[in-house]
Amino acid sequence: MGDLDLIKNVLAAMPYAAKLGVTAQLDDTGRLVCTMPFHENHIGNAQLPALHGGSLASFLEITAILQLAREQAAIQQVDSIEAGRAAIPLPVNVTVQYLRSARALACHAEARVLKVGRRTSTVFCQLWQDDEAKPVTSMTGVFIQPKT
Amino acid sequence: MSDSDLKFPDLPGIDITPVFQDSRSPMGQNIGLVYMGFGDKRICTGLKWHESLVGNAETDVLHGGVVTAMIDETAGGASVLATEHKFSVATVDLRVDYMRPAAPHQNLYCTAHIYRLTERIAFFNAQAFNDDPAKPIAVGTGTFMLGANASVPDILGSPFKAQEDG
Repeated sequence: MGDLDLIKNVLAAMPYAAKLGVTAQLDDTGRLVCTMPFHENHIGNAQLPALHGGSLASFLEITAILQLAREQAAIQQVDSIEAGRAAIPLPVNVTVQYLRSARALACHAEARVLKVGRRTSTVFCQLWQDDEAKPVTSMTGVFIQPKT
Repeated sequence: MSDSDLKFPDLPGIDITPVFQDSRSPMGQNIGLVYMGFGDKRICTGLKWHESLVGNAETDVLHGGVVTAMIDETAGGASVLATEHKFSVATVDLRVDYMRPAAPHQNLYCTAHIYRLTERIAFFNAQAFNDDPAKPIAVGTGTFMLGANASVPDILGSPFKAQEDG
């Protein structure tokens, strides 16, 4: 079973990710990049318009969960949506920095697991829109491993 | 349980007046957030559990991102209220601690307070809880930039203002 199938099983176990339209892709180098398409429902300031801090934070948390679940998959078998549910780590806290205004465009995000510990794991995540060199939002999250 | 009406608990200094629904952002409406009351530099909101907001279909617990979005929206409203509607606001940063899972199928409430206001920054703290404000499921803290852009917060201004003056 490929990494992407595994990631999609975890994604399918998160209804809120479907509501936001989040999808996951692996690029040529095997890097996981998540995408949240632009939708009017994600707007925070309708006059600019700018995306809502809450939709950006939600997208980043979903991306962090997928990357963490992927790296844990070496230990666990995530071969079904049921197993995907069991693989979802629980967030302890998230810290989000809003670096630039998020415009009415699709968002992309990538996560890096900084440390997998026995009890907690720390994940750093970055979001960009049309230019990856210009991060729009970043997040550091601490998660506890799901009980096995 | 899921269609029980939202009822914000009585809190000192909070006027529970279910108004200013026009103030919600599109994202606030998207997650079903409702403005439920206000106090001194404080906004109270509510949210009904819905299966589309779930973060894990096995437990039916709301996704952490929903709680963060609720805190961001509530604190943004409190920032605009605290500045007497002179500024639009933008989140600079926020931290949310998830203290316990949100109870499945139950309403979620949030209160956000601006504890310090400077010329350019509003500092907030916020709590989200199911029924007991003394048992928060999440607490948030962060900052908003004031006048971050030229847009005038008409949509946020008038309803709050009418309530305050009234």
